[in-house]
Amino acid sequence: MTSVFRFISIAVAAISATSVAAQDDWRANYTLYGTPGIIDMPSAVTPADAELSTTIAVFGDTQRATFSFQVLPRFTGSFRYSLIDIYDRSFDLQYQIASEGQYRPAIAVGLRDFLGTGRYSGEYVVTTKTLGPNVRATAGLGWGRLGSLNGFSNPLGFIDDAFETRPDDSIVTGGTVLAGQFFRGDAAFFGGVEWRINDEWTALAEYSSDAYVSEAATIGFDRQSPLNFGVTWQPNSRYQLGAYYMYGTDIGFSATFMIDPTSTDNPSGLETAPIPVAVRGANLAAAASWDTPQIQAEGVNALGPIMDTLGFRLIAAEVTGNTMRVRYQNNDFRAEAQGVGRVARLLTQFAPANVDTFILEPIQRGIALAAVTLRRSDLESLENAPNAAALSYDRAGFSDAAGPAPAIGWDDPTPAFLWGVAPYLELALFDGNKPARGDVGIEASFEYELRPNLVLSGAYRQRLFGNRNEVGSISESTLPDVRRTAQRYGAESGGGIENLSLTWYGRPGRDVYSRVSLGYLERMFGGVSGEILWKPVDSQLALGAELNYTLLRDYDLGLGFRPACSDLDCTLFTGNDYDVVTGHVSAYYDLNNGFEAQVDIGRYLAGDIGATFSLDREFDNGWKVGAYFSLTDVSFEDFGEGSFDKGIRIEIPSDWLFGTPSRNTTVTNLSSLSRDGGARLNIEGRLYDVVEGGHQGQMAENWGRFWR
Amino acid sequence: MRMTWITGFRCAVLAGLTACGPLQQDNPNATALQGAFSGLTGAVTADGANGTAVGDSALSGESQALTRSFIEAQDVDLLRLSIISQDATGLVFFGGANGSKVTWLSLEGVSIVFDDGLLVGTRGFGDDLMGGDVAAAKASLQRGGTHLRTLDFLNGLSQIERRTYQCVSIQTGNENITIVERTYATTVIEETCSGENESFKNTYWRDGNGVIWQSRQWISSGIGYLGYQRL
Repeated sequence: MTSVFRFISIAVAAISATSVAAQDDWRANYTLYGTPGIIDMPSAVTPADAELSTTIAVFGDTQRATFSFQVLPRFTGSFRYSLIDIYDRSFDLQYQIASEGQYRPAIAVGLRDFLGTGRYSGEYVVTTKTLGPNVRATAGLGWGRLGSLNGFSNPLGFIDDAFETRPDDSIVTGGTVLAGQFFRGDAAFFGGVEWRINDEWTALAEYSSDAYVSEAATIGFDRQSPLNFGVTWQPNSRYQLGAYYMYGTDIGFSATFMIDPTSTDNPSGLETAPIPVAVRGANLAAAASWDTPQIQAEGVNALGPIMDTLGFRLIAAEVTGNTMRVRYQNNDFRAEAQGVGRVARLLTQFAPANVDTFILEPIQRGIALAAVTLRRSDLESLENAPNAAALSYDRAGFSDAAGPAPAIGWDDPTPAFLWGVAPYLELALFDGNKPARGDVGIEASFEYELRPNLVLSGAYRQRLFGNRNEVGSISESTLPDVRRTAQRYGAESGGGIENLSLTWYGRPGRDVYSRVSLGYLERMFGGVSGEILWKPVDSQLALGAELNYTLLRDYDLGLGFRPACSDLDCTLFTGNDYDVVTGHVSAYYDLNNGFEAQVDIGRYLAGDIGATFSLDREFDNGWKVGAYFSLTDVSFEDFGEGSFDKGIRIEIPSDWLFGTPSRNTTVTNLSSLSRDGGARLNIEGRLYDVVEGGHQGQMAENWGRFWR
Repeated sequence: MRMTWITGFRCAVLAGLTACGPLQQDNPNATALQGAFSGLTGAVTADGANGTAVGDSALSGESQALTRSFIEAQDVDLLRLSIISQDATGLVFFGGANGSKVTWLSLEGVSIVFDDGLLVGTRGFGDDLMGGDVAAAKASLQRGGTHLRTLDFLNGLSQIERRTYQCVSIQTGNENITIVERTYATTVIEETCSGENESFKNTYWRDGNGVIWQSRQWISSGIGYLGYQRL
């Protein structure tokens, strides 16, 4: 206990110290848990808002891989995949109640492994104070695992005796919130010190209140001492490496990689310069007017190829009175606002002198997303003016573009049939008995455009090498195997038809969008899917409905369908092909603070009924980090490991990664378990994703790129 | 059709797993691979059309010594421009005028905008100057003194960030400068600005008529300074 008192005295000293204020430039240190803290113990320091980190840590026989995200300035969320005695997933949350003041330490409260099987479960309240420019001290009180060494009777017992015992709240399948055991049972003190030797090196020492009881029992971990020591090297803001002496017996190592989604080396992008504005009366070389159909047709035929070289596809254009209306597709630029700005500038060079208003109608997948009205005089007066982006947004008008296309269509010479061959890398992470499986191969794809909004497309994959053919064990379940046998798809055949479908998009009316997809919609299902979305161009709210009839595809990714397996571990297949009607009604709401919420209620692929809740933090540069979970009438026991479907997803825009213009993104789903409950069709091109970028909300967020 | 598939197979396998075909022009895997390959071999992308070489050098070098007769033979106005941090110098040509602001374009796809010789915009450099309020700076260059300058930049979240700088301009002397066979008598003016995060010093060589013949001006923290000479 002497060491405990030593740390208490440090804490007291920390709180009463008349030190300098918090060092703003001293970044958070990442622990072997991949969370902000010292070595194994947490601290109250928060990483920078929005920082994403991945930590790989190892000591003794324990291995941990953790993904952490600073969801809000004070709120940290972490997801971990660790090898203890078995592979285990865990989620942590930490909230900083108070930031550091001149005298007050930073104070945070946290839940470690609050879902699931609870191998790492513990709760804590922790304080951290910066003492002088290079020393940071932390002291805290922990429960659960963090109260397992030198624990004392729970101080919360004065509220209710029930706090004094810690029930085992976890269920066999894990995955549920262990709220019944939060802050219960014995509590213990922990603490530590970070000493910054210089800009790159930091020495660490801590007193850990975790007795590692279960590791001692299951993997023979030998814990001799509560004291851990370490040193970390952080040469820049992108990574941190650490070496440690753990619990008096083991050596440990960690590597943390950090990404700041809010900054990039090329904030304005490497795309070429836009066409300058032509000013009427000064340097305009365009025709005086487009007063005859011939001149209109000639104008459109001249405009189309120019737009094509600039990254746009002209659909149609017309001049009526003093207004020129142009419908086009932006092929290159992530931000539709940038596309609008570029097309508008081109039109100042091109439109006859009598035109004073432009109506631009960007389309995606053949459907018009919005009509943006710009006055030609505003473009002329605001080009290169101070604060031009904000001023031009104020003068732009946004409305629905459901009506017919402009009168003069452009005959795009691009062939209707397009093909491509590209390498692919497929990784299956965190599936039960192996942390990662992967294939590398080639994918051939094609697209045949019958009309801009009616496209037949498909993709075929062939594995070249990889180990995805070693199908691990299929977990047992009484549900139809709509997802849990996903790893068998293409495993033996080494590839096959990924998808082959005809998709038709439409605009049935004002504010309304529609989609019908028919064919092999995804790897596991084929059939028909219909969707309708209501979203006014300036609305934060959108409502949608989807109805699907699908059959379960064969494992060989051929054209056939199959029955669901009829035994627990999926070796027997009898009866008719499995078919199911699924559908959801959905509400999407842009909270206007960088967050977007979505609720889907309906019937899922195993025939279960329930709802999915999602919350994404969407950055204006296209990054998205979000989490979701689905609760259905499948019981936790029937669902199996994890108890219900949940996950984390990260979407990284390619233009952020490479600096060059692109509409592509890379989506990573971090914790999908491929279980049968709460499973939905994986349909590419759902309406909300297609429409959102062309509506006023996202255009406003990206209007800074209008003049780029 | 048969040809397409065969060609497709060859380009995927033989070219070391890079992508091809019209559908794959924008494939991020392929872009990353190409980047890795060119990094390994030191190869430089020769594809001038994609404009991605801008980050390395926004301007191609002058292939021959510039002469007055060459300049006069052109039917478009030229400006000699350097990006000092990239050690790149080249010619840019008149792209358009909007009031007092003139846009100059380079063949590599970048543009630069000057307002009476003061930089108010760049496009295509990765960290562009998106706009600037230089009205007070213009006046201050005439008579010296202090002024405020507001410059607009795009930040990592694609938002315009307006930064204001406190500036002072002083005349530091007179200099005769020669630009391609012509000599001008100029006054050298230094404009020193400091803002919350950055400070910079612009230098102007101006003749008696107020024409800035030569200048060194700050673009952004990512790109640094440009230099130009009127030709």
